[in-house]
Amino acid sequence: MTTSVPAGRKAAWINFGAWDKTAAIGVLAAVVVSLIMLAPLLVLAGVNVGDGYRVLFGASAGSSFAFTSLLLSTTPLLITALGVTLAYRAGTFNVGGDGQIIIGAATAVLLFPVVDGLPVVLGVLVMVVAGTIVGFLWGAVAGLLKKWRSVSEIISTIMLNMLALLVVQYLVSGPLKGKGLQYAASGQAPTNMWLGNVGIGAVMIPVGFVIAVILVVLISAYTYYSGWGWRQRLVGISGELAARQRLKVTSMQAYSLALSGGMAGLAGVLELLGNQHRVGYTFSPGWGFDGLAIALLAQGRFPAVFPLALYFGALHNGSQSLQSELGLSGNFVLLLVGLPVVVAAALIGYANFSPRARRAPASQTKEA
Amino acid sequence: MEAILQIAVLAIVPLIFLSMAGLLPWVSGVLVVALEGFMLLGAFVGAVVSSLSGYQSVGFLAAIGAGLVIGAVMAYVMVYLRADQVVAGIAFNIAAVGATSFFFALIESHHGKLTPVRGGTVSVPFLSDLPVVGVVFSQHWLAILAPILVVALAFVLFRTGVGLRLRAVGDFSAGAHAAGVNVGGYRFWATAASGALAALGGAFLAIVSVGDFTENMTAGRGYIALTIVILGRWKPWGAAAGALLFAVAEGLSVVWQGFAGLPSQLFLSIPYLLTLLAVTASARASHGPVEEGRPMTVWA
Repeated sequence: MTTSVPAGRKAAWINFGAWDKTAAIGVLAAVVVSLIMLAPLLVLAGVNVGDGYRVLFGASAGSSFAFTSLLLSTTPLLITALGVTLAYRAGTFNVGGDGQIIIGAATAVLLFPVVDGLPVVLGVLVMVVAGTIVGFLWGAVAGLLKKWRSVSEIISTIMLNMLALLVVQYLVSGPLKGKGLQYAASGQAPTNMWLGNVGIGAVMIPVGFVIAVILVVLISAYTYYSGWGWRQRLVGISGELAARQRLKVTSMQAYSLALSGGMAGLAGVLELLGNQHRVGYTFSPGWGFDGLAIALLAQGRFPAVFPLALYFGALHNGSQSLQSELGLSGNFVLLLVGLPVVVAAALIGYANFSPRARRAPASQTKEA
Repeated sequence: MEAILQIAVLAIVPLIFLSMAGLLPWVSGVLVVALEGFMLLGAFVGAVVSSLSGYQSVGFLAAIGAGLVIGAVMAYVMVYLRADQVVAGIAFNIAAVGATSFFFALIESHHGKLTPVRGGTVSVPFLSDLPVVGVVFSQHWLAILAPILVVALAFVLFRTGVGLRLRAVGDFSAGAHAAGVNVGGYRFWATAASGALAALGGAFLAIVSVGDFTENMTAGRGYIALTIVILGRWKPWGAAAGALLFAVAEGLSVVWQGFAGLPSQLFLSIPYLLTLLAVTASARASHGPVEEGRPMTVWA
């Protein structure tokens, strides 16, 4: 299958997806809406607005420690968001990120006794691969239900979230409960297998983040420079067109959902080994939803995924400081994540169907 | 048995309000994935207002009002601004979890622990004296309103001009438009009403079924309601039957807990497994309104 550069678009040496008007709307909506919304929330909470902003973003800037914690908060978000974006490019919504994250991490916990005696690199690899595979399978359930029975993946992934959470609740309150813990959580990962930091000068970069960045490049390259990626995109742009090209549309979508689940599972294992070291009920503070929000804001454009993940990572990171220093419930981050997507969806909808867009030829309104 | 029925009734009422809330705009072509968020919002407003005012009915009214307003905002976004209904809906649900948890913690930090007003139980004469099933007829007055809502919606949708036009808007909006039907208006008001109904269901869950508000307490019921609508083939009676199935499952999952020393999570997972099963069994055989989820293409 040969591909040609669409007319009117410059052939770039390397093209990881267009940084276009839609991507800009997404990123701008995220930053502007959440920053504006934060002020009244802080006022209502009785916190000095200036202090609030300073604590929120001060947690991620100013010192090398703060920078490392920012990257640590960004890592699971970035990987999950990449996976969800991948599924989104094939025209599917993976709402099941949280379930896939926690089930992936729980798989690694199950393997603690197995990997304990192994060499460090091998042990980590075993956990990472196993967590990814289980996440992949968890996503594949939704994918196969969609393929075989045209079950909406929105409903099935939400239900799979609940089931994953219940499985993990059972495991960490019973068979896998850490010894001597007062609360329900798993045992600790073997300390020699914790993922540390890579030092570049004085800046410490978490290993998980390095892997995440490599994944950004790999996944972008996969999407834009491989046959699989190209077909996946085609399915997302127009299922009808893809079907005319004799592509197995539903199989492609099932595969994308599974792949997306695998990424989330990987994110779970990396978070386990790199940050939390045990799994509890609240292992994921909603990264699956955040990842979806990022994919939706970016509209499947990889260049926008990275800054969005960093921004939401900063919000998450700062929310912990707001919680401990100013006593605010950390959940308001979900409000700051969700509302911009509603605004962006409204803006994009209006831009695509505005009177001006209606006069333009249809080909200009939807950009791959 | 009576315990199962009691739990089932407490579970079915929110599900009925919610599935009717999903059905109404869906028939007109608007896919309200935002149901979950509407419900959570109603639970929050209902719990807070009824606790602070001291009147249960004020809590319900406030929930309906808040649901109507937010429903109208989302309706404007989805119908007139033509936002992607799935995207806007999921994002709204995320935001609703954040907003309700944040504000509930904030209000509790000012007023101390909030406890919604309980009570409001009404007994149907004679029927409530029956053995075993009598418990079904001695319930909160909203529980008695729920079946009336199903009948009313079935009547409006299939026996009145408004219902005919609403369904026409969902199946063939261009035709409806040509016949002089205000497509946007029908979709807008159906969605706004959906917000109010779902919020009422949420308020019932918080005030009557649980008696408290907790973070993300709807726990996927909005999505379960969407499944119920599919299962019920987009008909009020079918949806009510689906809701009954889920309510019984929830009753069993609570009553059977601890049975034979099996982990409670096994039973708690019953409604979710049932949802997966139900949606798998019914998804392919049925199809909804022709224009479900599509942005409006008529301009008036």
